[in-house]
Amino acid sequence: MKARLRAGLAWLGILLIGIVVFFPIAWGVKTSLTAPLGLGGGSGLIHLQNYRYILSQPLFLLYVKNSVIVSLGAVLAAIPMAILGGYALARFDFPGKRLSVLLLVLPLLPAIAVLVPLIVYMRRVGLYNTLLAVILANVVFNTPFAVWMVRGFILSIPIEIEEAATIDGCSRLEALWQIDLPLAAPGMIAVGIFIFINSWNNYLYAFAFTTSPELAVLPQALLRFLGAWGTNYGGLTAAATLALLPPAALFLLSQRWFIMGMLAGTGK
Amino acid sequence: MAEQRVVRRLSRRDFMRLSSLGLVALGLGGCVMPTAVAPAASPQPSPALKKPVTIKWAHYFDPLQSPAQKFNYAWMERMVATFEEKYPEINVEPEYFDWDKIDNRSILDYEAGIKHDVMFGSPQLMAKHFQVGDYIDLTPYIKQWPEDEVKDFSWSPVWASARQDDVQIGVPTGVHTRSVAYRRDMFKEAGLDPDTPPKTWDECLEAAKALTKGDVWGLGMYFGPSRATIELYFAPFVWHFGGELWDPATKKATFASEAGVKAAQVIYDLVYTHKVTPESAIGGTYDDAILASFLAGRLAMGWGFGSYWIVSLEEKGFIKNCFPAKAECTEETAGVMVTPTAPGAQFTNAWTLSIHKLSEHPAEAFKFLEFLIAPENLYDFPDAGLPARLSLWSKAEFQSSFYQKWLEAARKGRPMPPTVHYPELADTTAACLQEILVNKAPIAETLKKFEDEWNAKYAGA
Amino acid sequence: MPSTLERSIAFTRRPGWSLYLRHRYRLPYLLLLPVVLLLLLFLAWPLASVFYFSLRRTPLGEPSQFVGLDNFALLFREARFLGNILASLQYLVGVLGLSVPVAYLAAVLISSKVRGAGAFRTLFLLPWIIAPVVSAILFRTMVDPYTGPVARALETLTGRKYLFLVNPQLAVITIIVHSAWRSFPLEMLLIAAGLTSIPQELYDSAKVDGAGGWAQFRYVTLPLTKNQLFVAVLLITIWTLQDAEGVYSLTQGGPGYTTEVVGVRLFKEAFIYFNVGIAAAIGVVLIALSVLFMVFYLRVLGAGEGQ
Repeated sequence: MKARLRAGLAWLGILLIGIVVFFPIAWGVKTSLTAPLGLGGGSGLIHLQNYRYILSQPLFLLYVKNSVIVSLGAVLAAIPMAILGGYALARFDFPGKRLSVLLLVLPLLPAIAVLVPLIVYMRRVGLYNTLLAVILANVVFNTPFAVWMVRGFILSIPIEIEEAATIDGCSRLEALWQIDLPLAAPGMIAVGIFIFINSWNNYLYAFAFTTSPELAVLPQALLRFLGAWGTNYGGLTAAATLALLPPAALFLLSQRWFIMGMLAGTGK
Repeated sequence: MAEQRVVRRLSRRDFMRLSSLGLVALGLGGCVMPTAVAPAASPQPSPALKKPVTIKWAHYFDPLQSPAQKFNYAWMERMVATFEEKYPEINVEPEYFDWDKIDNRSILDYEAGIKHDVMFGSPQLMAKHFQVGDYIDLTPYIKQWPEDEVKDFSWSPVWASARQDDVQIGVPTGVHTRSVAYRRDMFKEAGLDPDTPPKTWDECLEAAKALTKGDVWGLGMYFGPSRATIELYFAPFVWHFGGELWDPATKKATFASEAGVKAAQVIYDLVYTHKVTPESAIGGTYDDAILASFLAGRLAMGWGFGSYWIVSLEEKGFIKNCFPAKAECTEETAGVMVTPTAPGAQFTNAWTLSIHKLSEHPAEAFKFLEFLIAPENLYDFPDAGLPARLSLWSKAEFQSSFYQKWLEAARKGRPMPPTVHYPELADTTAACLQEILVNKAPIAETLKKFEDEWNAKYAGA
Repeated sequence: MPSTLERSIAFTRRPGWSLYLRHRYRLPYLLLLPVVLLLLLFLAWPLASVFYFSLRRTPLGEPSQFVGLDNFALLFREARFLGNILASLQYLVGVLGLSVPVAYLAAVLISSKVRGAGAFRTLFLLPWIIAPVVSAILFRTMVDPYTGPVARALETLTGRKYLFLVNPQLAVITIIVHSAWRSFPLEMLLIAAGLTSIPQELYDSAKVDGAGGWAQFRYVTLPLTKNQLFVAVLLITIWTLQDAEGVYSLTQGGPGYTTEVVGVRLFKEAFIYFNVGIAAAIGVVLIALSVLFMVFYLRVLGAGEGQ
């Protein structure tokens, strides 16, 4: 009896939170399915015009491509650095290790505060107005956290396994490659997804570091539906729904490891 | 234990899942590659057809934008095609920028050394462009024009806003002005004559009171966080009462003057005393507060109704044969009236065309600029709805009373003050009005407080 | 002052510089080199320049000049900037106060043994996956007094009109709810990670000791999730403090300057007004605020370091 009551209460809680969580999303999807210019019309039917329109725009696909390049680029650049750095912090003692806290603290400083000097800097090194600059900014502000997560995963792997391997003649790096990496794979996936989603949603870096229209990323493109000539909410929400699919798909496919990885990365 | 769960090699099933993940990523990358050529980027010319000169044209016509934009976009593509046909030695490459960032892009890119050629710009920001120097002086080119040609443009206030000390940095393309849109049917219901809309502010206020009932507000305005607030709602009343927002002699803000206080009082009374303007006008967006509300029937009169919205009135069926303009243009459910303020007390602007300072081909760029503003091309430039050339106004399709009212509005308009810190001035006055309206703050003191704060930082430029 | 003797002892205990580069330290340094280089080049340097820029006036198109602390003086003499800081603090307290308890509750629910609850682990993460600019616009349309479902529902229930982005209190609530909605999934995930790592035996022995539900929470759950809570609160604090896009897309700082948090002000000064000096000075203030909060959390929660 008591267990059932408890389950009932739990479901009630989930339901209430669920309503708050899903309502805005449902509202967005609903808006995307109403007819364009449907200011007064509320026939309640599902209209796919917005989606058809968005998908017929080569520009939209270009923005998707840019977002994919930026997000995947950030993940691919950050993960190796995070693995190396995280491994060093987890498995070695060395003078100055305490300073590594700075690694955690520095990137927590507000990115927006350093944006203006970073623009000047990017110009000077010739990276301004390239997707590389956007990738770099995402890497800079995500890698340190990734380092700490990787460190957590590696700490959760018993060092004995690694020691056994070294006795068998593996070097430390071989041990990292052959023992720790496969074991920490869920953690890598978690880190990768964390960086992917952060980069996918970021508006500020692309806004600050690029100027050419063909370098725009999705969040910038979405804002274009709010124009001076009336807001196209249907188009905006349809594009936003489509933009939600890649990260959501990635997430659904890998959520088990993601949660596992988060657990290991912050558990210690 | 948690650790044991983590310390687990990937099973075969995990491997399958992982590879499907990879496939998704590949698919994402793969499926978009072939379609990656944006219309904004020019097609890569094959070596045989290579043209000696390529100029870029920075525009704001986003093809992803609302339906109104498709006319603009089509016009832009046609211009590029016809120009390239006429001048095979010049290649035009359009580049898209957000409409509210195009001026800033020119400035930032000038500082960053990124080149542009022909660019659209806003007259409100010309002072800033003059200060930065990101546009070239067009005077040497314009000097070669026949005198009538200059006169054809210089009638609108936009010409003067792009001019400082005999240096001309921009040429107007179309006219953006505003009127008061009103519902003829609602006028009839309220016992007002739809054919003789209010001519003075007092008449307008009386009409607004008569029209307000039920879910319908008599007079729609907007005081939200946007430049529309100063341009279309605060400034017209400050000017109406004989004041100025900014003094060109001292280069100080003067919106807290007696006229400013009167203007703010008018706005306050509309919302709280007469209750003819909805309180929701203090927030949200200009489009929602005026255009969407008017089309949805929540407003009997919409103040600050832009000429760029003529197309929306037509699409809604409120007017007929007016977009594109025809001689038979008639006002059906809705009509427009010239803003009932004192002479000169309203705002008119336009998009201007300028040439970037870093342009490597200014002569070719100007050739293209001239091409765009040639009567036959400017004539159906759909963005403004209204031609920038005075001579075009004598065409038959602009003789309808609907368009003649717009012409009167355009002639009546004046530009925003030429301060370098115009964006700050606009934001400051909007925040100030909101403070007055939302917190019912004392009007004169609040205006003074915001004016002082602005002057402390920006006086002198 | 330490005595000479103490100092010399300390000196001999410290490994010499040559020791630092001894073989066994070389590998970890090499491994860390890429990250450290990246941060030095693209973070430490711009960080230093923020301080440099904050002491100069840099008008567009003209050479910049040293003005000392003028930019700071200008800011702190302004009622508007003091309001910006207060708005930021209010925003932060509101977001944390709203999202942390909900996240904690959600974490407990999704980690409970109730069947099917685990599925919501994933579903509840959706708000975090949506771009802030998009969710902000969704929230804006939801509270539109004429067409927004939330505003309409409230109107039907109470018979009053709710102007969310006009009424200062409601505007503040709107930006807080929006940000809390975005923040709670990550907090939930982190806390849930902590919850799952608590061994069941601890609860069992607590029950043997006669601890009730609250006592179990107070003496077992809370202390053992402190680390995760620390990480969550720290992350969300920094995200909230520097948030510009979310608030800007919702209210642009209005009505008046009610919701003009420091991040929004910085965004306006840097990218709309081009007042580089003022923007840098605001950046310095924002950095100082962030550091203050980090130190505060380290002190209060004492967790930190993640040892």
